[in-house]
Amino acid sequence: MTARRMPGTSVTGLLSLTVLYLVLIVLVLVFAQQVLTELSFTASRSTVVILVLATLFPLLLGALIVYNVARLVRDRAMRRPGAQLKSRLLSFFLVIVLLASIPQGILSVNFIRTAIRAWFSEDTGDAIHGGQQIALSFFTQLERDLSTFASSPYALSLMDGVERQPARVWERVQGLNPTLDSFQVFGPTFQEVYAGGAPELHLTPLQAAAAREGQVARESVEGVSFLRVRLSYLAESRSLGPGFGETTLPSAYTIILASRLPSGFDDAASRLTEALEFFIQLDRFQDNFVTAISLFYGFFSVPLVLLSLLVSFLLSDEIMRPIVSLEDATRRVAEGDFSTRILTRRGDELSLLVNSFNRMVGELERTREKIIQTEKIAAWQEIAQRLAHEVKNPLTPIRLAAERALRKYQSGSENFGEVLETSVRAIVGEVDNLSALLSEFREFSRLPAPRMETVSLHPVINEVVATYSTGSRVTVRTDGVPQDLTVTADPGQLRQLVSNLVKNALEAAGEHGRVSVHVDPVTKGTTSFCRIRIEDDGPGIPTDQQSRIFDPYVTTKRKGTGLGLAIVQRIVFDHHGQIWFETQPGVRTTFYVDLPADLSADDHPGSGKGPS
Amino acid sequence: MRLLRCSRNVFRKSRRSLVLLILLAPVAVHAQIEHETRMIALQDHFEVSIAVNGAAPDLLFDNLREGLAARLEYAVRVSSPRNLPFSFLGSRLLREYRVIYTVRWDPFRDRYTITTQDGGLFTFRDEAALWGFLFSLPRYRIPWQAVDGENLPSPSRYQVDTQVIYEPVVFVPGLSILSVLLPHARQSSPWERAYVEEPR
Repeated sequence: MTARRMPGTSVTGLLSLTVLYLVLIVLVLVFAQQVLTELSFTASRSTVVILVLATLFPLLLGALIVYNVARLVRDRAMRRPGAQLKSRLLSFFLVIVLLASIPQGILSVNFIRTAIRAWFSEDTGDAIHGGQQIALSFFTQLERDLSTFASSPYALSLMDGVERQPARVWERVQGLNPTLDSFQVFGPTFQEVYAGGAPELHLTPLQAAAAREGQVARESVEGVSFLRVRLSYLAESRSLGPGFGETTLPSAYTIILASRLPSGFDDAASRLTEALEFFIQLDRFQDNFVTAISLFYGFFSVPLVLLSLLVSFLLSDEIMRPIVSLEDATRRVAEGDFSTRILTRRGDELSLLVNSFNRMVGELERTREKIIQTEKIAAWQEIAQRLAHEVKNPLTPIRLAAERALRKYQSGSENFGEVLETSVRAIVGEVDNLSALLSEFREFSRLPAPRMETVSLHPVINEVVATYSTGSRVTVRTDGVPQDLTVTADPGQLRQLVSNLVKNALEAAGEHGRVSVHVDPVTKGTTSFCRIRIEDDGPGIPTDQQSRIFDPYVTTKRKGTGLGLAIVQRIVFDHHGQIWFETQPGVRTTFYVDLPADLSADDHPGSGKGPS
Repeated sequence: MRLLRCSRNVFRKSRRSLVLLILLAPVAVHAQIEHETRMIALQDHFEVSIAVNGAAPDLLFDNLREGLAARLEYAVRVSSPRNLPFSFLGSRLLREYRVIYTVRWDPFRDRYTITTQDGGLFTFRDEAALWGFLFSLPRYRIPWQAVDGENLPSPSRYQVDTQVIYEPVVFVPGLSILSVLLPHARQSSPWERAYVEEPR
């Protein structure tokens, strides 16, 4: 018994596709994260790796799909079971995938386009730009005020006495210009004389010396931003010291004034600048960005679609496998292999179908065995009857001849010798008939398995025809037998086949009849045959015997054994050929034999082109 | 405003033939600018000087005035050739240095500013001065010790590869994907190799 396992779900295939799917998802997430957060993502090495992977991935998937499609096309071309149904299933899967993904893609891209246009409208840009202009105006005004104050002669007049009472001067200056937050005075050698106001805005002597005269500078120290200006003030006089008498020189003092910018001004200004930069980029590259997002979407959705197609191939395989197994098993049963069974561990409807199939085949096998057994018994019964009949028939003449000879002997008849001779001849004749009958029976029952080889038909036909033409008055014609027709056959059995048919035709044709033999190449479907046609103009086959003409011991002739055509049919069957006849009672009978042509001899005329 | 319009037209043209640009993008990534490298070996260090040619001033200053930022990246790789059995593997990379300048217009300073990757800040009122600073890397010092640890310097063992990558527009996060697609968004010069000579 042949048991074929019906495959279950391919765990490896499903796992592989699941891993591929997860890899793709991770790639999408990582790549999207990089695009959305990394400022210079194109320069990073991980991006290169991701891009390479993202390029190789669809190529790999595409190659797998091309391979599967090629297999499917080949299966269809070879008419393999399940190929057409699998194609149809795949078409359905593809339609489902496209039905789901195309609207999703269009919706996503349109949503992004609409959202960008709605969120980043001209009003938003104007608002950001206006905010920056306001901040800039404020800053410029502050700068201008400080510059104007520092360069005014009035400010210098306020500095009178700064070398002696700097704190008082600072009070005066602050009273006049409350926006000032820091006041520092450095002596002629840049030693700090006085520092008033916010200490975080104070400069070191070195910084004060490096500062430019009169120029308003913006500085930031530890998150505090301020505007600073340097003034030089000449004090009235300075004694040169002992030895110089009353001689005095003006002393140069350096005054540093600073105004603090509002807390967070720098951050706010920076954010405004960045927002404006973002908006400008978005405004300028909006169309490109939407296209890029579409491409980005396609970059990852195409592999997803390809992956879905691969899953479709896998699923269709899963669906088709049990059906193909069933089809294969059904074909094997149809070819006569009733031992075929399908094993399954699935618990679905297909499993029920498989179990029903197995039960049906089992029942068929049992029934077939019964039929064979019954046929064997019937055949033996028929053979026994036939043998009994055929053996019994000659027994009567033998007995009669023997009794006649005995009577003549007992009566002392003068012609006893003559009668004895006649009787013995009759007995010997009948015994010969019995012997011939038994030989034919043995020949039929012991017909060996054919030993196939390439045989040229022309010599075989000619040899048989020559044998039967010699002593017969019947005309035998072999018109049109091609010289190069070959078949794969047992030469001895082929000769016996033709011989039996010709002999049968000659016997049917009678003394003045005609028999003709023809051989032609024919094609049925994709198989080439050699057709042997033997025709006689005898009385034909009676209608009531036509259906039994190939059965053993059925004959229309008085002295026939009824085994000739049975042997012919057996030889044709063993050679995978076909035999049939056409008959018109009182007109003619034609026997046809188709034998598969020798495939190695592919250059004989008419091969594959003859009538079917 | 005229320059701004001109700049926009450049990108509108590219927008019209985006498909073509996408196809050409990999080609465009290759050299659109060039650079020259000079190198001097000294006792305890060597100096690399790079000068960039081929960048378009109009494109840079139009973008800066419009409020966009640009970036220039100098890459310097110091490597050592492998010995014969393993020479097919190429040179052994010892150190890689990158100097990144990000330049933008600061309306609050009323100047161009260049910031470096380590937080350095340079301000420029004059465009020519900015151009000269941005597109040249004069006398970049690389100490021998940094290159090859405690080994005694043997300059003939070293080779230096340099490359310059120029982005006329630094795309903000979210739009960075455009730098892959737009052909002029990322220009790079070919790698140039020079060999370190014996110290003077």
